[in-house]
Amino acid sequence: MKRRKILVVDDSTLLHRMYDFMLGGHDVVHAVDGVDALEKLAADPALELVFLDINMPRLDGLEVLKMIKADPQLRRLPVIMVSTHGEEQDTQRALALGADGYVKKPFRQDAIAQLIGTLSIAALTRAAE
Amino acid sequence: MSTATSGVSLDETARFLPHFLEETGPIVDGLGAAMVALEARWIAGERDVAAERRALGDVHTIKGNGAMMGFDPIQQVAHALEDLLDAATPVDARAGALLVRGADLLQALVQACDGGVLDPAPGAAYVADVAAALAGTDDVIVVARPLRLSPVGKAADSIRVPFQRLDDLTALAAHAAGGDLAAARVLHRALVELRHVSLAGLFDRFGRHVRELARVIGQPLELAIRGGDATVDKAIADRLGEPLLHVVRNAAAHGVEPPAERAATGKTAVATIAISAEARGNRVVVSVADDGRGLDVDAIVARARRLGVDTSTLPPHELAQLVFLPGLSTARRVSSLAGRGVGLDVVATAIRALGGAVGVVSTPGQGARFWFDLPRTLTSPDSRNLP
Repeated sequence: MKRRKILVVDDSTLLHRMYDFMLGGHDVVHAVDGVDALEKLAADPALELVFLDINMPRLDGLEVLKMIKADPQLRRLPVIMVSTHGEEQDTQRALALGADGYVKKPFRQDAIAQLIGTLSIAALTRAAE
Repeated sequence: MSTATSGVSLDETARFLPHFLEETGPIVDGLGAAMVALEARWIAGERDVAAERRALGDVHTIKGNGAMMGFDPIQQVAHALEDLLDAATPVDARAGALLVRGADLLQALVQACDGGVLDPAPGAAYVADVAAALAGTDDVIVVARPLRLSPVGKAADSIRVPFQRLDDLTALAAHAAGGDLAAARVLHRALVELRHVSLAGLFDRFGRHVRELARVIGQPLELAIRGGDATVDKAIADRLGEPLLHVVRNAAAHGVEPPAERAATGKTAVATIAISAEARGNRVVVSVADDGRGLDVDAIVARARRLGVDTSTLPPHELAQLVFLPGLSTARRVSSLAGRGVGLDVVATAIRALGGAVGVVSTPGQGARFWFDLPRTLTSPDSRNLP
């Protein structure tokens, strides 16, 4: 498994603890809301992947996604939307806006490990195009 | 594109439980007060967009955290509460009651989640009730809204005694030790008196409770306090708080009529709840009176009959006392649903345990008065042996 630098964005501290556990072996960078996420992305060009919660205070996941996909520096960065029950419409919107995938809470370690693997292949394919 | 929807394993639930409780506990605790305040607005038919957005954020965090932990009832109740907060439908007392019930339920579920599997039934009932309320159907009977109140504080755990008094007692003790039985009797009485506190300390805390209740029922209430200078053993004052709060809550929830109904019967718009104490020698009578509609004695008798009680031989003034029967109080069902609270039967049991008696006097259209007849002093076994 290749070690990746991953940004996880969620307003719940529990989720950050879980990400630390589930993404063991990767470098995990934490952001607590959309504004924080954009700051972390601007500060660290080495970030390779984002897990982005949809519903957050200050700036929600859909807005962050739009800004990432509109930014020439960031738009190739894979973004996985993280949804909760009841956010099916938002998830569909996110995919239409260019999100690279989504997970729905509750998700498990093996599921996100598989996702990261799939995205690596997708990123390689896209780079070759 | 990939998806993943499986839940966390039991191992992970155990591993993250402390973190879940640490973050989610304070959020559900704060949510209760926020929902009580919001309920008051909804009863008046008003929205409070800012407060609703804040609450939505909190409920969403509870939902996401509950989902991640595999606590399905928490996720489901939080989701229903989100739907309710987010609803575009007009708000009313029924929807407002569901706000408070949802918050109470989430708090109970979060408190219960370190005890193993959560009972899905209350959550499922709640989800169905919210769906029915949002659909505007009428298959939910709101018997009484669950009332959330801060717990009754206990009186201080210590008593201040002036040095002079201690010196007097020490002198008495010296005489008693020397075999002076009269001094021993005086000493005993003085020590018993020392344990007494005035009821004012307990009664004064009801100012806040009644204000809170007024917010919950969405109409003004006035509290009248009389006889707070009567003194009782501190142990009795401590154990009187909960039963007293229960009957005060009962008066606000069931006794007081809506302002329009009061106006139609020529009453003042502001209803009064009066708490009073009257010392009668070694006993004290503590009462809670309201100027509301009085007890619905016919309904109480009907329910007692359904419970299998023969009411045919009871004299008229005894019929209202049936309200203290176990299983009769409507408040009981709602309170237990909210994970706390007692029925009037439990009030009666608590008062009898103190050596007291309970009763109610109700006048149709004019109000009800619940009374507790209590000893002022707890008699200890040792004191009975004194000469």
